[in-house]
Formats: sequence, structure tokens, C-alpha cells
Amino acid sequence: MNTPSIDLKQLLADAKETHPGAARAIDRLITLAPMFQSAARDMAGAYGETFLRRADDRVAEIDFLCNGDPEKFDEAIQAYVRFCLEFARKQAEFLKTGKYSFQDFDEMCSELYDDDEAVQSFYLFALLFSFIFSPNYYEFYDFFETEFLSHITDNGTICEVGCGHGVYLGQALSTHPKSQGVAIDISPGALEVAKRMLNFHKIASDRVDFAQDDLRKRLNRDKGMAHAIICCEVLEHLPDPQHALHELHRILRPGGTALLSAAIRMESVDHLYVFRTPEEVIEMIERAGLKLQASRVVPLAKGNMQDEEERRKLAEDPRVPVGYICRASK
Amino acid sequence: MSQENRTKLNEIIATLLEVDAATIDNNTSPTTIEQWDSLNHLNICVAVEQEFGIQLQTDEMATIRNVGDLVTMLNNKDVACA
Ligand SMILES: C[S@@+](CC[C@H](N)C(=O)[O-])C[C@H]1O[C@@H](n2cnc3c(N)ncnc32)[C@H](O)[C@@H]1O
Repeated sequence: MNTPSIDLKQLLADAKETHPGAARAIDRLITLAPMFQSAARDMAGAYGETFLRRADDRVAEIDFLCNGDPEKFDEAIQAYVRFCLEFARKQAEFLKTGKYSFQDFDEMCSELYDDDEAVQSFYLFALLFSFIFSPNYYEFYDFFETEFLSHITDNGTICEVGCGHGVYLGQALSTHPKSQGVAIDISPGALEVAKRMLNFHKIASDRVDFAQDDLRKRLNRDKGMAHAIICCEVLEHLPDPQHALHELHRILRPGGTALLSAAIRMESVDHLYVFRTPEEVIEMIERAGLKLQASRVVPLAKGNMQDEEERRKLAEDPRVPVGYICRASK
Repeated sequence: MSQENRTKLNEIIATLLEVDAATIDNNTSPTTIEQWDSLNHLNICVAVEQEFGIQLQTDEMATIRNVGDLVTMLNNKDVACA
């Protein structure tokens, strides 16, 4: 990102007072993996004070999950570092072959989602730090806050499918105190973490139903049960995202709102379905019967993301991985 | 051999980070060269794998913090590097 060059030392010194959690995360990250200095500088340059505020929030959640143990916190950061390197390595391979390395959902399940240790010590921590330091996750969260939370009513059931750590649902139920929550994931290890996350956010346990279920199949939920659905970073993990979207449409009540995201030509430790363009995702969403209301495209590349024109150009470059997120209604 | 490998290593890093190979020593790191980000880190590691015929796990790549760490790692993998 071509943003004003930030003096990290100065930033850390200032943030120590105002945003101690953010300062600690940056300090530990660049100490353990100095190669992330430019990422920290870019994020602070591009998103300023909001970056620090959000980082503080995420760090409070991570601290809670780590029971305040600084060693565990460092291990969580190392998980993020490995996750990023793994991504970069697989992405380079993807650019050569045009294929993601995983071809079989069941294999992915046994290697990751069914392995509590892998999910709880590696995967979910890596994702939580991505929300702080990776621009695509950061912008997804920003879209969630500014384009979704403020558009849903507070009188029904918010259902998060593929909730993982549960950050989105925790926040949605905090800001919508009259709503009930449903947290669905295929991974038992993830559901345990989501439960703790909602505890941290002081969401009464009788407000949330946690369920292991599989979005590849018919969800064990009634038609129209949710007035809001969150399904972020899930579609690209499935062999048949079109089926999944039909299923989300089925459980959404008429007039309801869905937050949906997709990774486009972007590998990861567990991506399966290759979306080639944002338009492909939009087509699928509309084919499922949902109406697009607002969307954002986040190219993962060096450039000034504040400049709409540059962002659009980068997003059109077939070699650049892109994050897509939208709000749709039924 | 050891000196030759060191020259090769410095050249890999210099090319990828677009700096003068003569400026590289064991203390060269992302702190001294701004372009050394995580993507270039991976590029360096992959180029090192290819040049020296070794394999690096992501865990190993994650612990490399400067050129000195790379040199140590090469030696640990029986690639003599000064
Ligand atoms: C990348 S994580 C996303 C977590 C969170 N929603 C976020 O945006 O950060 C993907 C999640 O989807 C879950 N998942 C994958 N396949 C699923 C399926 N078929 N049914 C339900 N959940 C699934 C995984 O267990 C994992 O927790």
C-alpha cells in the first residue's frame, strides 16, 4: 500500500498508552517475525486509529482464549505467521496450476475440521490475527460493522453458518440484545471456541443455540427461521457453493438480510472451490433468489486501497487474489 | 565451497530485495531492508530451497528473522555456508 510511511517505533510508543492490546500484538508479531513489519506499517498507514481500536478488541478476545498466558499468545502469533507463509506458498502454486491443492472435502475435514488441536491451536488463532493484520479480513469486518450490523433489525434470530471462532455472532448479539443466536459449524473444535467467545462477550447462554451441522447438506433448521444470516469465509470451502446458497436462502425469512463473503482466486490452508471473478459469486447469489444490496471487493496486493480506481484495477488483475463480501436480502 | 555458497545466498537475497549484494551481512533483516516482507520472505526461502536442493517446512521459514538465521539453517541442513 502506498500510504505515508509510518515510523513503527513511534507508533508503538504512542499506542502503548492509547491502545495497549494493539501495541502488544504489533510488538510481539514484529519481534517473533520481523518480516511482518511492513504489514503492520501498511495497516496502520491505511486504517489509522480504527486499525488500533479493532486490534485492541481482537486482542482482548485472543487474551481470553489464551487465558491471559503470554506464551500461548506468542504461539497464537506463530500460528498466524505459519498460516500466512502457507497461504503465500500455496498461492504461488495456484498461479501456476490454476487449481487449489485440496480437491476433496472429506480429506480436509479429517486433516483440519475434525482435529480439535489443529482447529484450536492453529487455525482459529491464525484467523483471529488475520482480522488484525490482513487487509482482506480487516475490510470484511469493517463491512460487517458498517454495512450489515446497522441494517438488520433486532427482533429475530441471527444465524451464523460456519461460525469458526464466533467473532461475528458475538458482536451481532452484543449490538442486538433482543435477538437470539444460532451458531452452526461442521467442526466440533470450532463450536467449543465459539462458545467461549460468546461467553467473553457476556451473551447469556440461553440466547444461543450451538449446533454441529453441514452446509453441504440440508441444514437441520426450519424454512425462514433466521431474520439475519452471516456466512463469511465459507463458500470457497465447499464443493458446491450454489447448493449452500440455496440452503441459506431457504432458512432466511422473507425480508431478511444475509452477509456473504467469498475468496476469489485465493488459496488457503483449506480452500476447495475456485471462484474466478466476483461476478461468478454474484451470479450464484442471485440464482439462489437473493438480491444484492451492497458489496465490497478487496484485492490482496500492494497498492493504495483508498483509491477506488486503483482498487478496481487491481481487482481485475487475474493474478491478484480478491476478497468479496456483500449484503443481500430475500 | 562454504564461501561460494555464501556468495550465492547473498545474490539470491540481493536480487529478490533489489539491493546491492555487497551490503548484505548476517544482521541484514526486515528491519534493515523495508522490502523484506512476508511475501519476499517466502520468495527467498523458495529460491534457497531450489538453489541448495533442500526443503524447508513452513515452521522453519517462520523462525528465520535475519540472514544469520538463514546461514545457520543451511549449515544445519549440511549445506556449508560461511
Ligand atoms: C475460514 S473459517 C471462517 C470462520 C468465520 N466465519 C470467519 O469469517 O472468520 C471457515 C469455517 O467454516 C466451517 N465449515 C467448513 N465447511 C463447513 C460445512 N460444510 N458446514 C458447516 N461449516 C463448515 C469450518 O469449520 C470453519 O470454522
